Amino acid sequence: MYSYKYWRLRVLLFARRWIKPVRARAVGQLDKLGFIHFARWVFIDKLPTGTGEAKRLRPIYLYFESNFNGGFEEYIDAFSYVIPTTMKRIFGPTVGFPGPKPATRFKAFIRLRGYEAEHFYSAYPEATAGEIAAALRTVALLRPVLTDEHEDDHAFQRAWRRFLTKARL
Amino acid sequence: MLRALFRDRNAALDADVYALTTLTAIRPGFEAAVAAHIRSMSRANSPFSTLPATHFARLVVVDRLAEMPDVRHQHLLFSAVIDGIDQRDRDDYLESMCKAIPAEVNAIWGRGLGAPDAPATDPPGFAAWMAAHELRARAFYTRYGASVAQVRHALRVRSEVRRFAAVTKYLTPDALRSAVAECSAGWLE
Repeated sequence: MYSYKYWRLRVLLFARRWIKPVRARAVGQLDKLGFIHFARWVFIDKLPTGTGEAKRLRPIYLYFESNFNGGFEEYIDAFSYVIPTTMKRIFGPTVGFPGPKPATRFKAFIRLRGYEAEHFYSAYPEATAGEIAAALRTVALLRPVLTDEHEDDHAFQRAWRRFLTKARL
Repeated sequence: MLRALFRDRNAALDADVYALTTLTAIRPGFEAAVAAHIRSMSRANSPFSTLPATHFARLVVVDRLAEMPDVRHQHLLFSAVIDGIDQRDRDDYLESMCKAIPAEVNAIWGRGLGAPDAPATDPPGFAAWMAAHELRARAFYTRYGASVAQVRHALRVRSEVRRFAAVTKYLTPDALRSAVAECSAGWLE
């Protein structure tokens, strides 16, 4: 028997995929934080045993993974103080969740349940999520400057300067 | 809505990237060997760097579960963000692991419960076995939608354009245009 918070989370994750405004809002919140490259939420309700029969897990586990730049402290602080309601909705159904605030308790909760990776690889470890988003935007903005016809050299210079301003270069 | 309907559940809706997550049980007695092998892999020169579709990869030995101390086996969690949009791309990636990093595949997943002893010798078999242990992402957030190659290219271009802009700041319009024409080869690859 699961609490209404669990079913609310399932509905929330379902809505996040199927209802565009819900998705846009959820994505916008994480975009605003700025330091997450990718994140995923997975329910684990059974464990493999190698015999073909899986062991049923009760309670169900929520696996959350995030690839982010920066330190653990700032990361959880941002979750606690910038999007506390979302944190409550996501982690609210989990056993022992102390609430997003104060961040100290939330951090202790996560540390106790977190796993250190034995191995971790990033294809671009030197770049933050914000730098990558900016770089991709730079290429998108640059394309018309290089491929469009320009009336004369002055028009080209104006287009080039507009590009530098928009790309924040 | 339609995109969500036809899109693979592990693929991002707004980007061509795939969240691969597998959970496999480790054969009793091999837990320490698997963990030791994984820890011995260089992070600076990771085996995953030979797989060009990998954005991020992570290997975790799950030796305990909070609130559930009686789990019999230790498990290996493998998660990666890869270029791809569906299960065919996932299988291609898993098969390419057998070719690019066979020693790792054999030493890590070859010690999984129910896995063949040398899975790298049978790439389709390995891909099918891993697929049977795949977990579905209920939500997958992506900050940007680009392949690994596109990300690396964009970072290089931004860096080059920044340097270029600094040295061409005071050029006349005709000189600027000539300089851009001369230096921009490769910026839009």
